[in-house]
Amino acid sequence: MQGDGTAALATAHRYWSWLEDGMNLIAAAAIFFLMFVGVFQVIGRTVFDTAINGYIDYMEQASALFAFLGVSYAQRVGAHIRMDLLLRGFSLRFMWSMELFAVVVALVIITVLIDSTYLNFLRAWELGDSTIDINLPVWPTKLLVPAVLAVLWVRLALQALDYVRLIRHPQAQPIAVPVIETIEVQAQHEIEEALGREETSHEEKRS
Amino acid sequence: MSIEPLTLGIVGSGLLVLLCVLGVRIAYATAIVGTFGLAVLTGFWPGLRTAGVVPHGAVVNYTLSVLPMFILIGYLAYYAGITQAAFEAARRWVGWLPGGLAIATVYAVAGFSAVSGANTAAAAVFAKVAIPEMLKAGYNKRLAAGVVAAGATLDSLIPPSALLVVYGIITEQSIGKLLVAGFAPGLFSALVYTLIILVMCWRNPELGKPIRGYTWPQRFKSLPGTAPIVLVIGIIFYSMLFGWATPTEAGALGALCVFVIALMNGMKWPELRGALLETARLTAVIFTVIWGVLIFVRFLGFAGLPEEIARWVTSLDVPPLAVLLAIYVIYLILGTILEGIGMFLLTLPVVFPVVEAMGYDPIWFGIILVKLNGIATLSPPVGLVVFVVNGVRPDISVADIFRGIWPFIFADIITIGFLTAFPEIVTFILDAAA
Repeated sequence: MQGDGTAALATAHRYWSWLEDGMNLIAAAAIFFLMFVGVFQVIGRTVFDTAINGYIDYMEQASALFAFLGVSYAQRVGAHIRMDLLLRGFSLRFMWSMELFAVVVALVIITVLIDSTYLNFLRAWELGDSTIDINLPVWPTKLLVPAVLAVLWVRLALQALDYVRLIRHPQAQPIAVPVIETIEVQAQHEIEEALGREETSHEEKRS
Repeated sequence: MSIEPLTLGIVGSGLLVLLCVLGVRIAYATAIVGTFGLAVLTGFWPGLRTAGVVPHGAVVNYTLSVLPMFILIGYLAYYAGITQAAFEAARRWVGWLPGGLAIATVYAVAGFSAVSGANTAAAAVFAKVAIPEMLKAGYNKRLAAGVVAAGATLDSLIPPSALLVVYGIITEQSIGKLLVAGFAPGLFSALVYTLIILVMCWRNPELGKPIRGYTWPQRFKSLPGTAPIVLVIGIIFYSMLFGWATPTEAGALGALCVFVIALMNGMKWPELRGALLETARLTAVIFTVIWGVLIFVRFLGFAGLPEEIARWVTSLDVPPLAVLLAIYVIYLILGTILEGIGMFLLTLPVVFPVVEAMGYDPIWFGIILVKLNGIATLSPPVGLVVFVVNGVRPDISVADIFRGIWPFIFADIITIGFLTAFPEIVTFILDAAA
């Protein structure tokens, strides 16, 4: 039986993916912007003997964007680092069960951390905590942490639901979870990505 | 009932290994063991509160902002037209040597691998670019495939190296010094590869013949194409050596150079967008595992485990070199099953205090670990780089590629031996600069 539950899961996965893509895009934009800020700072300091006031403070607070915003996106695509060598080669049902275990462990710790990082934000908010150099308030970036972890929590919950579905129907198509790749398939993906970029680059040069 | 902090540290470490083996992602495994370990050691709510401070406190830090810059350089490098140009230049300059095309491949793939920061990608690209050229020139297929796979693993020593940055973060060493110190051993490794190829092709010229016929003007004409590699490595190395810029600023400058060259090379918005999104994804992955591990490190600190292990190891009636060699073996084995950044973050909180207590130079040890990781990336049974070369060239079997890389693994062991016997190879630049 894979009726309404599956459709609802697919819909939730699709909408949540939009949110994750958007957050990752903001992180990407932040990195691109900081590249210019870094160049501006070094040229300003060495060539014009002037520096951006509060440069370190701005960079630190902005780094929260790229440190946290892509967390849930990375979970969705299975990018977070792990040792999956031992999971390969088992039956599908066993593999999905182990995946469910791994996601439940993640859910437990993220639940705890949402609460404790929120407390960390509350302290900064109540005390009016600020940066050393130019007194930027630090509560916005501290609030970002539990907010992002909450997005990750929903992703983990969706993945847990999908693993439960896959344990019941091992041959079903995964919806909200990444698939464990054999070393050969992993190598093939690396190749496709690398050569895909290379070819794009050469085609553009030719045209 | 109270548990000794040390016992709890040992139980926690065992549990962490178990969770990792069961497939829990390292960031979550370290965070959960660290958080609940802190809760047991310091009281439930204080422990949880301590853990809650770490994610923001650990990563909202200027030093770490170098990582996305280095990663961005890597993703933009694909569009800067480096690969063909680097191979062509290397071929014109060193092709006349016995096994010249293979030697040229070493330098081209190492240069691209260093800038792109991805050895698998470098192996894929050069398996496509360099292997056909070598086979056309009658080179032995094992040598051709082996040299591509081995050259790609030189990436993490030559700046910009995200792996060295991660080592610096977790061991609290100067990232600038690490980036400078990696350069000479990277070059040294390439020279040892060169020597091995020369000896092999001198003893058996059928393996790879010299490619002659290039004039000096042709050689010099090939140099501008290598500008992205020279610029990125040069900017970062020079800035770190003379303290001209912070690692983040040098990384930003390097990224801007590659960005401009990629634009000149025809990079369009979809490619730039893709490179930025991939950069953001990898950045989030690394930062997540960093804060997860740092929660665990805080727990270990409260348990006093690293100090106790260091005390125990230094009290053993075993020469420090024997302990060091045992550490080498452990990293070689671990590196075959675990990705470098994860392995460093997972093991260094315990291993580093031991090495430090034995009196070894922390910067030197970082370079050794990165080199060991390079060998592990290449070694059976996993050796992802080998599978990537095989994926691009299915006509060269995995067994043949593994046979082809043995001379280079042998070369790497020689390199490790030299770096251990003569640590000055790593530290002389730093000493000279100081």
